[in-house]
Amino acid sequence: MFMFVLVGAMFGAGTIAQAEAESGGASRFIRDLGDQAIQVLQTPDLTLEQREDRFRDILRQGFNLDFIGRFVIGNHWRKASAQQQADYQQLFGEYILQTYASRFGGYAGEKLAISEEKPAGKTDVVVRTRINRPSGSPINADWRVRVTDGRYGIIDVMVQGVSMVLTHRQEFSGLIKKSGVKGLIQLLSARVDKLPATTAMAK
Amino acid sequence: MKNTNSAALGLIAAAALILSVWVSPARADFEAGWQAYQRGDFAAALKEWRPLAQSNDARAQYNLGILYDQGKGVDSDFEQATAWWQKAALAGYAPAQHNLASSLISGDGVEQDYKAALEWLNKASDKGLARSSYTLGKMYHYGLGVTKDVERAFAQFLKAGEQGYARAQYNLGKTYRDGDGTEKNLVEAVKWYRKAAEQGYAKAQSSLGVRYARGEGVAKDEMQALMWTILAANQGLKRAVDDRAYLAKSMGPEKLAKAEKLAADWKPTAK
Repeated sequence: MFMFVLVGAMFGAGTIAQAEAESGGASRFIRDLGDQAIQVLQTPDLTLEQREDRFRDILRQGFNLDFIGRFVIGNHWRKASAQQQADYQQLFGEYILQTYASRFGGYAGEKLAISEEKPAGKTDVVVRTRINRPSGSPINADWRVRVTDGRYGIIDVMVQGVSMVLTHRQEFSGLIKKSGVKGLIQLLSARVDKLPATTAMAK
Repeated sequence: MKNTNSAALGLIAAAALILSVWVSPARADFEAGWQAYQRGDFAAALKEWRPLAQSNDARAQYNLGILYDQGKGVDSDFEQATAWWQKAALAGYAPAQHNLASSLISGDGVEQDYKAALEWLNKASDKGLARSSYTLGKMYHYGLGVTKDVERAFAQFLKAGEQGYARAQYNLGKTYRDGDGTEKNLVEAVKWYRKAAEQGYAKAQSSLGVRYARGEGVAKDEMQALMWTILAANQGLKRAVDDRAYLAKSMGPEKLAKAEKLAADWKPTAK
């Protein structure tokens, strides 16, 4: 509950009023992304890596990564050099896309059901969805959507009630305090640098 | 005659089957796990790979680590992931050595330890893993766990770049552009940026676009400049988004449309 209020306060504060999003528009936006995603999952003959790659492209269109990246490091943004800001944004985007593509992108027979859309603060809409999987329990994912420069963009995902941006903000803030934005850039570099699963035998 | 033949063939086939199952039961299970993994049935993959991992199959240990790292078929758990990679790394499995090094650098599931990371990266790089050579290059470049040494960084980037690793090729472009660890050479810079750009690496596409726009290390060509910048911008690279707006303004709608067509028709090369 506290987390939720906090998210609302943070996102609500200091934003310029955007053109009112049309009613149901955010749901259509999420549904459209979901349809594209499911099409990828239903394309036969794609390897898991190819499916995740395509998923990544869909998420890249959907997420407002600029906004999310800035929000996640908060005030530290202003203390970073222009080069660090550019490196961070690029790596953070890559990391987020990789993480969420592998979290959502691989599951066979996955289906997305939209349950409701409700306003959040003055500018945003939350689209509540349930991701159903043939094996395992369904996942509740709520997508916080905002119109920026006339375009819909996802600015947060709450998976089973846990906010992506707050989780990362919390995780990174300790690290930035200890080793600066430079340390965070090293962490993200190492995380996106890992190799995927393989069938290769040892040499 | 025909019957005898087919009976004999049947016998041989049966014998071969029995033999293959008997000789490598591990392989069969590993493959079943891989099929399940590719289908996106991670719980089934986990079920196949876990017993293999427990009986010291390095490849299964490594892949089990991936499932834990990415939270596939199981809750994400960096400590478990790193522990499995460590077992496979000790058995000499190069991909596990690389990922263990990544964990040691990021401090995920294990105490951060640059020196240990360097040792594992060296082992994997010696086995020919391009990504490990590249990461070693980065360690030397930033002086992590080792004295900063841009020349050794360059040597590692070169090793990985020659094996076709795009990130390393992009870094070679930068080192040649700036004369950072090697002599400054703008033509070489363009050569390496292009290799990475052609594989679809956004930062290299953006840099190559800038080279074309300025005519540095390559003949000035605004159409090529805009095409590569569009490709990078389409991947969300901030700098390229700004550059695209700037270039498009000076070129007019007709040329912009042509560059956009070039970008739309463009296909990455396999490495």
